[in-house]
Amino acid sequence: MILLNYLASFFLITLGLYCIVVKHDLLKSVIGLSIVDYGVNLLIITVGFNPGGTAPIFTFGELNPETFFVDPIPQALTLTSIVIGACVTAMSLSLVIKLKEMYGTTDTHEIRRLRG
Amino acid sequence: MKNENIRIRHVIQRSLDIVLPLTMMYMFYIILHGHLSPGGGFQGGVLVVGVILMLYFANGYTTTARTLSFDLLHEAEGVASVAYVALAMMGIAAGAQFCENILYQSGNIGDLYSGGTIFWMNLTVGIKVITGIGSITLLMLSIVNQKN
Amino acid sequence: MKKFLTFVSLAVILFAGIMAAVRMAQMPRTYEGQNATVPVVILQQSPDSYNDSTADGAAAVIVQQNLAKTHAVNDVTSVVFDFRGYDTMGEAFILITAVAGSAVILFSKKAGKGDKKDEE
Repeated sequence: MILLNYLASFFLITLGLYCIVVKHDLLKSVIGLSIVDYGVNLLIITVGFNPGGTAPIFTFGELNPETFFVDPIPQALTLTSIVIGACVTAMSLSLVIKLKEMYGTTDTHEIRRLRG
Repeated sequence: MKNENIRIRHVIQRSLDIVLPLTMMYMFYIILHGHLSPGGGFQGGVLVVGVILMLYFANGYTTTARTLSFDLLHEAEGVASVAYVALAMMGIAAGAQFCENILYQSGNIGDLYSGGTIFWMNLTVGIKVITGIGSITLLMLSIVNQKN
Repeated sequence: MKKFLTFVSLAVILFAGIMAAVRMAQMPRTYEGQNATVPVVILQQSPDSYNDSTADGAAAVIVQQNLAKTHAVNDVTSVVFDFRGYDTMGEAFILITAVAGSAVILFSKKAGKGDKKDEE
């Protein structure tokens, strides 16, 4: 179960790197940048997981003498990381909009040749 | 053709009149109950994109830009940011650490108003995320609607 | 030749990732909840009876001391806003930077191109 999460996160990181490097359309590169962020978030959450534990919230009326909590610190760091990924995506998308207005195309093979 | 367009627009407007207040109520519920159940400022503030898109689909761009103008959202974001730092500096003024919970004796465990400074910080960060992400969405919608 | 090198390097990165995943799944956990000094049920009834003298990391201390120091039921919210509030201030700073950067990029007026935000 934990091994499956780790394998999926490293597969997502490699898939995002492939999308950034190989594809020659700008919008697909921006999507690849987001996929790298999601893979890293999955990796951080899986580090603090204990099989059999519950969420670290002291709910009323649901605790038994044999419940134990998982680690709450990696979950708090992942919250900040998700917001950072969203902000990076927003700014890179506004750069893509500006490029399309100036050059008329989003193909990186064409943009390298036209100048202004 | 013209009658069909008017009928489709009427259906969208009447159905979004019911869904939009429910979405806004759900957004504030998640923000306010941040210290009792999974939620908080960040998770609840992301629903503002749905609210703005519903307004845009039902009423067009000019009404949306007049209701939530960019200047109003920008000022509110600055006010919420300064309020967060002021709440965090209250700990230093009383002799403790940077973001320490000074008012933690207000209310019993499990009430709605029981977190101390955590309750006020949730509200502040919720307003900040609402206005910030709403500004970015409004900017991108205005690019779609400009006439060249 | 360039495409061949690209795919070979991506395959090396994927292979290194699989070896790292297999190795990481066999390491011990960061916080063992079963060895808590005061069990969670007793902590909920009497929050002042915590015992963190034999703690093996920050997570054990936080789980024991949370209800006594901040009367908040949610552990993750109290970590984000109380124990590590400095990181949340940096994250709020990033939100302002993203909005300002998007506004500058999308609305810079060039000679003949661009659009100010109060035109239609």
